[in-house]
Amino acid sequence: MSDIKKAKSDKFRDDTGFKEKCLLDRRSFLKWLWIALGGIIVCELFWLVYTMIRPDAATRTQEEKKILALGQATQYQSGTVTAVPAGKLYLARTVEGGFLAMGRECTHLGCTIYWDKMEQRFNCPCHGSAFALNGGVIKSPATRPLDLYHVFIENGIVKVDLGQRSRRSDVNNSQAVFI
Amino acid sequence: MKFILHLHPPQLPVEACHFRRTFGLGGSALVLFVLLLMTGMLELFVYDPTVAEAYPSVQQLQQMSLGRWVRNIHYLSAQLIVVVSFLHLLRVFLTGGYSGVRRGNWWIGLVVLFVLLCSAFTGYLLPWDQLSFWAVTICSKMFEYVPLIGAGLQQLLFSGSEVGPATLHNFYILHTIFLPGTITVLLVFHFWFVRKARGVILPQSHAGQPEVRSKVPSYPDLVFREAAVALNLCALVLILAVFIDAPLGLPANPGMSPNPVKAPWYYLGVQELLIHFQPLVAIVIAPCCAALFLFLLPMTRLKDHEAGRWFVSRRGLSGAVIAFAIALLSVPALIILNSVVPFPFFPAWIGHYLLPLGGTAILIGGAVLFMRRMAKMTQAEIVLVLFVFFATTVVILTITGIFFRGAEMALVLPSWMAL
Repeated sequence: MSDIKKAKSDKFRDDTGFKEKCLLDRRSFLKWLWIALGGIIVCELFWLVYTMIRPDAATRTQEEKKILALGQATQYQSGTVTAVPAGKLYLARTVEGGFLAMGRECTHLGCTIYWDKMEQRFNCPCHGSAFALNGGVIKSPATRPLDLYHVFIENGIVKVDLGQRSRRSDVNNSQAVFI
Repeated sequence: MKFILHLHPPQLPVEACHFRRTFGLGGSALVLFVLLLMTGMLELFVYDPTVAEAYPSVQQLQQMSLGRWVRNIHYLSAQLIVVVSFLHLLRVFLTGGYSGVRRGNWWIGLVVLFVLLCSAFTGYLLPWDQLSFWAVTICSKMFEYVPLIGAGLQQLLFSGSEVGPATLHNFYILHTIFLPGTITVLLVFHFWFVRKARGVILPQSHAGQPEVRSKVPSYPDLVFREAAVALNLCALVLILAVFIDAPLGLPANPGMSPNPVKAPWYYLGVQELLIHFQPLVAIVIAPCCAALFLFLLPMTRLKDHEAGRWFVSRRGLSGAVIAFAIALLSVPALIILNSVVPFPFFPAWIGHYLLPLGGTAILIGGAVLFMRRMAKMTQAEIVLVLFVFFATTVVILTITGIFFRGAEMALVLPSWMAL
């Protein structure tokens, strides 16, 4: 019995190849276990912090379900732009008569644009970008057209779904909604 | 008295006490940090971190008998600490105090600087006036240009894609608890590592000779000097705060952008780049390269006789002066050229990405090759030249953004310069 023990411990001590042959002995296994457990704790900590500081999901979805009714479609003239402060957007009616609802944030760095009636374009006061009535870029530094909200017409009334906002890379006629 | 011995050794070399060894920059940053903590805590008694009450509470603070002064001290210290920390980084770099045993401390210092900038940025929003609201808005939109993680990061940091009540709340917690706490913990290690490295870096006395330095007791020789710097700085800030008012614009109005909108001044270098380059280059690639460069700096091999000497060597000094001069002439010239001749005369991806990035890479590579082969400079000297060039560029871009950008970010002469 004691011989066996001695032989084992001798092997442990003398045979230098032992450690390499055996992928994990008890000590290094426990060491790695501790490191892994520590890693898991750190991950959990980050997860905990994340759940606390992320934007509150409940209030956000509530807001996004909002649908704005903007009155009779016929009251809007072709080639005009109407500000809708309640939805933070502009409702534009193209020359062809299609409706576009566009976010009022400049796509460059998010400043609030205004509609310049004289020049017939949206101007950004911060960094000088300009957009056409259909939202297309006519002056950089902005690189992409204004974001679109989903517009639909129900019983002759223009409605905008504030929950459905999309980016677009170019401007075309199919984006406008007709009566 | 005993407490000081935690920070300083009982005795230290005479040279380590000289003002011109460090210019007292690290200590000054600490003094400003303490001033910020103290005034910040006072401001908390009045400030109300809600969208409806934030602005009125700052107004109320301004009307209290010494409230305006306290706010001014906080404001001035915040501006100064960014400048002083940058100068501290320059000093440490230019005296070669970033390699060897000091490597770890260089990295800690970088993290402190980063957290400090975050702290300044989160504090910028709190008055909730037009200036702060729009500056933070455009910075939040910059995240949208970061590929893959940008939108998620923006959601997390700003609590949504718009700057709103949740953002204010987040920033308030970060600014008053998280970030100052983080800085405090990091500073403890920052100071401890200075002690472990045996104080500030000193040049080798004489090559080959054994180290014989005359030593002086740290009290009073060093402590009195430190106290002199600290008290002078405090006096300067407190007096300036009587005369210089922290700005407070109109209350934030998400429906009305002012013209122009600028980021906080320490980020204006990036915003200036954004005028000249594509968002991906200006917001992601350039800052990441700069951060990587700073992070990898301690890997430079410094020879023993190079460490602790200002500008490495005489050749290093001349290289640094040349790099400074080149940056000083070429960067403003390029900025003006770009405002006259707009960039896109090439297909988009060439003009936007290949030309600026490839061109820069070739220029840097060529310069490095020249310095190694023709000028036979050492690694430390080459790194010094590159660093001086980039640091000068950053400073010029920032100054341009602060003073020479007017309405719609067009190039203008500032009013105090116009004839």
